Amino acid sequence: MNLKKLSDNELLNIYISGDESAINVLVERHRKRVFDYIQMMVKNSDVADDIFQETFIKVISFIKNGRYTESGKFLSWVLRIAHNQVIDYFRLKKQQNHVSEGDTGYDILNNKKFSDGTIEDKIVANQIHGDVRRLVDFLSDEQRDVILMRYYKGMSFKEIAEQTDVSINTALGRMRYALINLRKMIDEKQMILS
Amino acid sequence: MDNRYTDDLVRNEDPDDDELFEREVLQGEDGLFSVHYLLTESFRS
Repeated sequence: MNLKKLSDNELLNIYISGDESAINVLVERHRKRVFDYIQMMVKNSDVADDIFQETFIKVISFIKNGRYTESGKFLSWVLRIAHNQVIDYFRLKKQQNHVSEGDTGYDILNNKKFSDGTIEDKIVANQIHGDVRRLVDFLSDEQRDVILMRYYKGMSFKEIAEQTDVSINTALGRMRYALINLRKMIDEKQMILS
Repeated sequence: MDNRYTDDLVRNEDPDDDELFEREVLQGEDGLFSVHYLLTESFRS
């Protein structure tokens, strides 16, 4: 059987029934996206490597314990675990007083709101998410609108195109440039809290 | 975008929205999926 041709869920079922090689195919299939996400957040390849490993150790542990329940959304589930691992990393780093503006991609952790030593993961996560939402305000009106319609209102591209009186292709193009510009802003470390 | 995308859209009057997003927005540019996921998480909360 060529495992590479199987869906994520098919591979998961095979893995659960005892074929260990199926998980290797899943890891390889999603390696780049998971690693890129971690790397974008922590901006350090060695740290990203560690968090990537920890993420998949958790993934495997959860699957073996029957805690994977999101049928059809394996990548999103893995990314959520990676996201939580990244937040754990920032929180731990802050607690160890090793966070400085120069060695993390998130200046938010230097904000005075986080300096009282009683930070919870949820607060850190909310702060990161707040930063991202604020970054959207720096986009052009057209790009900001398409982001909000898609991610906040959950509209389809057909609906977005109709509401903004453009073609679907134009709406998709605006979204693409919005994401490219957001990525640039994140890379330039403009995620600084007000 | 090249004409291939437009042609595809014209041929398929009701394309799957997520598939469109994946194909026309996320592919071909490193790092966009990461931004997409971060936005998804940020607007979920």
